[in-house]
Amino acid sequence: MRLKSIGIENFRNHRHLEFDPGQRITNIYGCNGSGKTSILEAIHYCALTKGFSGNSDRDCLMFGEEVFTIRSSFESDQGSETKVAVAYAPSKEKRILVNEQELQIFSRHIGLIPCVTFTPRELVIITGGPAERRRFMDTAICQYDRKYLSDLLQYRRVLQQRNALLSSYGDLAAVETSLEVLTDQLVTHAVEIVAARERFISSFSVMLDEVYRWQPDCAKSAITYHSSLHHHETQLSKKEMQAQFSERYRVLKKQELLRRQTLAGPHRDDLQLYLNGREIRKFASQGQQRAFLVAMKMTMHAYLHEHSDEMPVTLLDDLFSELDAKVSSVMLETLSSKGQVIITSTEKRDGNDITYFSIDEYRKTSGQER
Amino acid sequence: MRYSSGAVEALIEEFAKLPGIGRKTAQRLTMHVLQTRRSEVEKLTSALIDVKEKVIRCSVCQNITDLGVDPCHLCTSTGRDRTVICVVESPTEVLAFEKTGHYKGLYHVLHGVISPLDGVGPDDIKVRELLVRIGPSVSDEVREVVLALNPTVEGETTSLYISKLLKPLGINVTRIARGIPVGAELEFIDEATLSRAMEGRSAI
Repeated sequence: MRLKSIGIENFRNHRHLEFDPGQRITNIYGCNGSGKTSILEAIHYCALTKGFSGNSDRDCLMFGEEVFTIRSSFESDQGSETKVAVAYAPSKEKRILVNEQELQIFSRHIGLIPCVTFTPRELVIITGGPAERRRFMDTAICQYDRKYLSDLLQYRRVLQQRNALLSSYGDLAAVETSLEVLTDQLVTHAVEIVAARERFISSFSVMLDEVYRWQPDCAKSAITYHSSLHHHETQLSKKEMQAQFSERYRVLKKQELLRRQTLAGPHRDDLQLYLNGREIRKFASQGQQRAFLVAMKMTMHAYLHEHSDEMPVTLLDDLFSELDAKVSSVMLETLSSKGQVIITSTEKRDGNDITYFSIDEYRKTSGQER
Repeated sequence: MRYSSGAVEALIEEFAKLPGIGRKTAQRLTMHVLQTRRSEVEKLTSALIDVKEKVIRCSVCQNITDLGVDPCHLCTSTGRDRTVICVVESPTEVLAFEKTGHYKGLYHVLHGVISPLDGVGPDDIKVRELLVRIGPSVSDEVREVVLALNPTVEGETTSLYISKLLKPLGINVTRIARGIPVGAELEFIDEATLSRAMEGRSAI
């Protein structure tokens, strides 16, 4: 998939902007606050129906304006065109049109335009709490496995019900059977979720290690899934998992009744990230952490490509601010062989076959004041 | 705009409280009542009062029935298979099954599902009444209980709960199939339903 053109109106600090990226690498540059990231966010809207995580639609609307619109045109690897338009006004719902047809269910659109992003704020995947890493896994799996999402939603509902029961029970004998039933349900969904995550991580980890080879010092990377329900190196069948999880809840029961909440399950699981056998969060430098995240994103790119026929679009926000020149040039080369890359920076970046887009010059020529 | 009559205004307010009725429809209904003959309106009022005074729950199946018809006609009918009980959430679902004309067994209405989030436990729905119908002292020989609850998390919890209580009694507990609706086209079925249907496939 390739972005051919995008037109933005009243989006963040862009009153009106037209942008046609190049075939391979496009470098958007401009001074601080000129709106480089906003262009990437607009592309993100067209691909995944929303802005970067944590930003609401309302935040993206230009101050004092009623509605923002984004019109974009994508070209698939086979050459067919997909037009995506997004319009949002606070008084109405967000509307998305794909090839002039209004989209009824937004989740159906996800996956059509595969898209991999890198923004500095995503560093929390490495440095932040377990919830960030679970979100990384869940969004990745949801892009190609639809059943996973429904298992996840059902699991959350059962968990809510179970926690409600645990927090409100008065007499244990009266709720014993209810608790057993909810535990059984929790286990059924947990098995599906943990199995899907383990499957994903085991192949992701292998791919990541391959991607990591571009690192000059030839570091060895690994990701492991850490389940709060069992500790097994080998993959178990779903039946064995079911038995183990039930056993685990049986052991935890007394404590759960005392603390009045569910103490284990996929909602408390984590990923462990290693570089040369050491945990990254604790022992790697800022630059190494950043490089590792980039490697994870590149692996995601390869993984998505393997699971869909389209080459993903890659959006890199301010990637080079902390990577050394050697790493970044190797990276750029690897990425450009794999479809379209749009990258922002404060300074113009030299390189072969790069299309440049200067926001400051664009504003001058189009006669717009900042 | 308010009407010059307080009585008209009061009736509009009452109609508008009904589910699915907005203010505009409430006005239309009120105007209709205003123009209808007195005898017709009296029929309506007595029908409304009757619902509150004469409708009770059947002491056996907990479905709604008229005062004096207890047990209800479904429970006393001789033409029905007394070895099967179909467990449903509400009286409307009994109606849905009756419309099929295929099911000939008995029913049991739970009037709710287990949901700790809403403070509904097993004792707040009619589970105990179901156990009474199956216990050893009952002359009717119930062999199978069919659980026909909605495929939600709460429906599932209730199904598992009931099956846990009934299994030790030697009752055959079954659940209605879930999957693809009759007459639907496969390509339009959502992914979750389709994978469930694949898991629950049966031999032909």
